[in-house]
Amino acid sequence: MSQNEQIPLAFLTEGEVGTVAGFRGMRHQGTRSEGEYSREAKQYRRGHLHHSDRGHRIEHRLQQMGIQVGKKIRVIANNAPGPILVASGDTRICLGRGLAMHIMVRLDTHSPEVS
Amino acid sequence: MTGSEIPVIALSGNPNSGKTTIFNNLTGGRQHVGNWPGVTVEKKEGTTRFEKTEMKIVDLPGTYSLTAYSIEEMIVRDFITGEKPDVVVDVVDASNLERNLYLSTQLIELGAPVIIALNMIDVAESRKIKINIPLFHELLGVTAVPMVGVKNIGTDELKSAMFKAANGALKPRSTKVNYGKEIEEEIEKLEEEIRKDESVSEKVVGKYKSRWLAVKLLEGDEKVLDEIENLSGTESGIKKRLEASTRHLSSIYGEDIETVIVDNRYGFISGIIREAVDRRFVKPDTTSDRIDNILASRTLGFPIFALFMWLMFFLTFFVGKYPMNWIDGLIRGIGNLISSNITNPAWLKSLLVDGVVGGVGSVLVFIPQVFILFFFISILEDTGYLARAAFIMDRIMHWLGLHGKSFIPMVMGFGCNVPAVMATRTLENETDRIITILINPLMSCTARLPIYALFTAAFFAGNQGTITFSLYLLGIILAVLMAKLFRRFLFPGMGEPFVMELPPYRLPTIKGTFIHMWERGSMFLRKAGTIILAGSVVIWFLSYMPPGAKYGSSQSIAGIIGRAIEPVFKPLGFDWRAAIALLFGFVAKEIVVSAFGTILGVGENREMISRGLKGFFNPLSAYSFMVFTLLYTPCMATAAVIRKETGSRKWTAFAIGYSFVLAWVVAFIIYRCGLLLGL
Repeated sequence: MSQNEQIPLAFLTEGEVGTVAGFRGMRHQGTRSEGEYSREAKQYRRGHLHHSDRGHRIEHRLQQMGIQVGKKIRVIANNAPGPILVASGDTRICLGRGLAMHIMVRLDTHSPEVS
Repeated sequence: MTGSEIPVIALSGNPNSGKTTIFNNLTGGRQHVGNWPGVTVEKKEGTTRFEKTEMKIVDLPGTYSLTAYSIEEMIVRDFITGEKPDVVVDVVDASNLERNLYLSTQLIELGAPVIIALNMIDVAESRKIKINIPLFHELLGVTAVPMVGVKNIGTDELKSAMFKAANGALKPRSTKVNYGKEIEEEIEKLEEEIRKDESVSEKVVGKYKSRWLAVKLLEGDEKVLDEIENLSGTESGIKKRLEASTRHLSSIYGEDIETVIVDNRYGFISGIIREAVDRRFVKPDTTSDRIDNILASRTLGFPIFALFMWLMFFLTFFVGKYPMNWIDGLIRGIGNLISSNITNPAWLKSLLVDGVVGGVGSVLVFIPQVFILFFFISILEDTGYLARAAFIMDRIMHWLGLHGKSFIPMVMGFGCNVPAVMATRTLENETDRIITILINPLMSCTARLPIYALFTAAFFAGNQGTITFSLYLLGIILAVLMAKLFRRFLFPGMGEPFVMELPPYRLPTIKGTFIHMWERGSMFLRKAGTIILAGSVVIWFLSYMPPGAKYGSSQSIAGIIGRAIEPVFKPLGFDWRAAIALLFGFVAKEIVVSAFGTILGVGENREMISRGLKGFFNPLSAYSFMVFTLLYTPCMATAAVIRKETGSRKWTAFAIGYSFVLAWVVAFIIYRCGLLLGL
């Protein structure tokens, strides 16, 4: 695999390191059903949720936890088809498989250690 | 500080930054310290003293930032802007500065009077992370106090800094994140517009800084946008300016300005870390990872977890048996002592022996098992393994339409459903939360143990373990089925994706584990002394009255009430005594056991209760009864916490209603099938 090719984080195996290249299709991940949409709208009006764009919210959460473009991510455990456990800096994050499919990384073949 | 009021200090910080420990150190108050993200979900308050000045400490929820994306973040933001605490102590994990400083930066931008508690400085030092504190202070513009929360180091220095800051002796210098030329220009234009708009500047600028408002508007923060729209209408100058700025910036950065702003904030933090932190010799924390390579691995993770769970229950039941017998002997002794010393009046003897000793005593016997189970749950939480359980169980939970995080409250439910329902607050998605709350009471809590112990001893001697295990399993299976049904019919669509920070493994301290065990277990003790005592006395009274009726007979008031509701339970094989026990069991499930002790008039003596039960139960109806108590209506405390957590009467009524129907149907099927099979 060429080093520039982007692959989903979910495809990395234990011990592999990848550099986050971007998020794919997160903003439009899935389609909300009518019921879900109106429920979210209701929560929003009640003041419980202040951002109606779900994908946006998730991307933001990932950034807060340290999964940002350019960051090196090391895979500690990959329980395919279950979740994936990764290290970003000093933080250990557990990600659902679906989500890990939307995080695109460049596989790092040389760096065994996360900076 | 305003006048003579005591200064208010707010405690903020990332999840797992040790905020709760510092809160405890400051207030001396005992409070739970867990190890998985989001354990501080309630607003907790306490007081501390420094040089005879009292200060009020408010523990805010753990958050990563101050967006409008989650309830916790909104709580923190609203508290700081609305209540205007005199000082905001931001607890920062010194071994993980980059992520922790993101929140600090936002607090500073918000204009909060921040002091940084640089916690876990020992962990940072052990990993050769060297922080130049004066320089750090200089760059960030706020005071930083190095501390080690778990060893209570630095608490006095923090108190002193809080005291000085509250008295205005430590003014934070206003530091500004530079967002780059283009964004800064737009911020300035927006600020100008905000200041111009009188309806906004009067009301809002007192609360927020205009720069913060401008940044938030550019970030697309809908809460701020709403607030501005409410004040100045949708056609205001601010709104028009915002639209123009967004258009302009989008043409430069592409559509997403928020990301650019976030990136710049990280850039600012990286800059500080580059300057003030020496990371040249840093050792990554590999111990945790090495443990995770085994405990979280695909092949070994699940078997090891299953083994832990088995061990937890085995030790609870096996080890717990011995102290249970001692307590049993003790209570019996007290009962005998009372009956031999008090003979007159007869009603007093009956009240004490049948009501108090019989009711409360039959529950107290189970204290050892309750404590042992809570001991293990505390260890699971404090080591950080419970968070791994969420990871290991995600695959299975996914199949239920939930994810791994929902598993944590389910394990806690084996202890008590009340904290378990509260623990669902870490789930971001409201529908995930409601489903997890609804199925939680099906997890068999310790209050139900006495019922199983009593009935299995009476009817299934020799197979007690297997029968009890079958009940736990039945609860889990039904929880799974109900979760699937709720997801399918009540909340179609998809839940929130699974993201969760795992804390590093920590060696729990013996003291800490015992404190947590005691805090939760003592709730059970308190309950025995209050609700169960009261319930027992009421049942005793109902069984004793009216005068002349034989104690606990069908002519007593209890008998009359029991007979009135008996038809509901008759198809399940229960008579009026079981009906009245179940009726009072709603108050607290332990009362089911104490009710039998009281109604039968045999006190706490378990052998006598067993013999009495055989008069109106057979093994089949006994099993059906245990299933019913496992599943039916959550106890009053759980119902109250469900009401509080869902904020909805409808869901509380649903939780009570569906579990009653489920219990009835399942018990009916078991009883009737058993009869057909000739059991």
